[in-house]
Amino acid sequence: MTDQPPDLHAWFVREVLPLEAALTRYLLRYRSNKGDVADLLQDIYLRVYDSARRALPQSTRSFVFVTAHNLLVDRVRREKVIPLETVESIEAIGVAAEIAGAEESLIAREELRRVQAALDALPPRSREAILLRQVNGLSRREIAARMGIAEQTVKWHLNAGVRALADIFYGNSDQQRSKP
Amino acid sequence: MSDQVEEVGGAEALRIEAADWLMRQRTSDLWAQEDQAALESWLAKSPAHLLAYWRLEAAWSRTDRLAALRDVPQARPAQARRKNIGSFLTRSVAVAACFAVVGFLLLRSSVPLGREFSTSVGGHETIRLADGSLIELNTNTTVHVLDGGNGRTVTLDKGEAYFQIVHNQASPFEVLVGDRKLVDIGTAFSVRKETNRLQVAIVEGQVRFAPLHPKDGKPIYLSSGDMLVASAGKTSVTRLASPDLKSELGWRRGLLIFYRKPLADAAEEFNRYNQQQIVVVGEAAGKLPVSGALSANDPEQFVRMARNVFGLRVERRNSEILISR
Repeated sequence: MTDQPPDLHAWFVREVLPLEAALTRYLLRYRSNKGDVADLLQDIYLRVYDSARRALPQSTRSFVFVTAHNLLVDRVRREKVIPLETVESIEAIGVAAEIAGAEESLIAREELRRVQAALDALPPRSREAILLRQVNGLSRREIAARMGIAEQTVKWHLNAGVRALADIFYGNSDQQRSKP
Repeated sequence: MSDQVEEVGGAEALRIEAADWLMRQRTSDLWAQEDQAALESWLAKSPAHLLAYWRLEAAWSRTDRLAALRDVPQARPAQARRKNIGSFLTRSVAVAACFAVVGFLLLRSSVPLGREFSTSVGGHETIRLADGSLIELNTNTTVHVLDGGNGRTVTLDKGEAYFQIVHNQASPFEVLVGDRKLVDIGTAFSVRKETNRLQVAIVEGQVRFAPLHPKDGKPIYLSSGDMLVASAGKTSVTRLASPDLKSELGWRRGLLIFYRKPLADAAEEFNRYNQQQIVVVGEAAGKLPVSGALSANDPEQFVRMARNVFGLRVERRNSEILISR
């Protein structure tokens, strides 16, 4: 697939991505702009990945949050935008991270329910396109024919759909919390 | 400012681009080697590309689970219709054919996976299906016999199972595992599912091993003595000698059979069957080769072997047994 050692990919999906919700909540306290948070997340992931390439951290959770903390402190120094005292201590972050960890273990059936809940939260056209693909096994061209819209439009609905799913699964989405 | 579309840039723009690659790869009629090569070179360009792609891919693959519901019967009345979905459905007259499946899927609060059978850690049970086929469940295993498919479609959700199938040309027996399926062609075989690994051993007859979506790859035909191992992106088939096959299936007799297996791997194998977990400390101890047949539910036997045969130190800590040099 790629020339990366496969365990780095597995590690990222298994241990880093589940922290995104807590991480986003943390970042949102200092940046209200959603796009800004996406940029910060990207920077954090890059730093974490860079270091994991040399060696996987002993505790991914604290490593990710320490990285986030350092990044924010760097920005504060550089931009002088956020007052330094609002960047909270690592101990306080630790608590938020623990809560995120409780969400990690999902048995198959719960997982399926969660996938359903995530689909419910998607825009209808994106949801429809994804279901036609994943349940009915149709290709993009066939989905376009079935939905009676251009293939290019289907492409956009799928694109928006998969991005929204990632935000719901990993990011800070109220949808995720409000549905049991 | 934050809700302006024009403002999309940086990480958000990269997400859109990564989503475009992923969706092209997963939903195109044709995804040729050149396309894959182009994707890989895009991924190799920057770790940011790779990470954005991994993130979306992880989200997308969680919906692969939906494919397991494909065999759900189409005609099921949906009483508890949700409002928003109702209007969405009525508008989409064109998709009438897939109404039942899609609607059913979204409207039910619990997902109809069929009948569930499972064993706990250390458990071992045999199920007899209506057609006479047998499914033997190893430790910590869950299967579902789906309502569709004449009771001849089974999902292996976790663990390991041995299938002894009564062949029926008109209605092939199917085992769905993650995004793959096994279709029997007159057979006895075992399937073991781990987090990132799938292992299939064929004892008798033939099995077709294929992705759930026909477009995701070609089927592989396996016959008796073949052992297939599929893990992240790699699938290999090896031919097992008869004694090796017996060792693989030793669990059916409550035995774990090892032949020159590293001690750490053997311990891991044991841990599948017992609450009490064995931890081998240190690489040197972990690499010691173990041979023999041990009772799966008796970690003490394993511990005695470690102490008496290899002269290792044994230390007990709550639910763990530490073995070290």
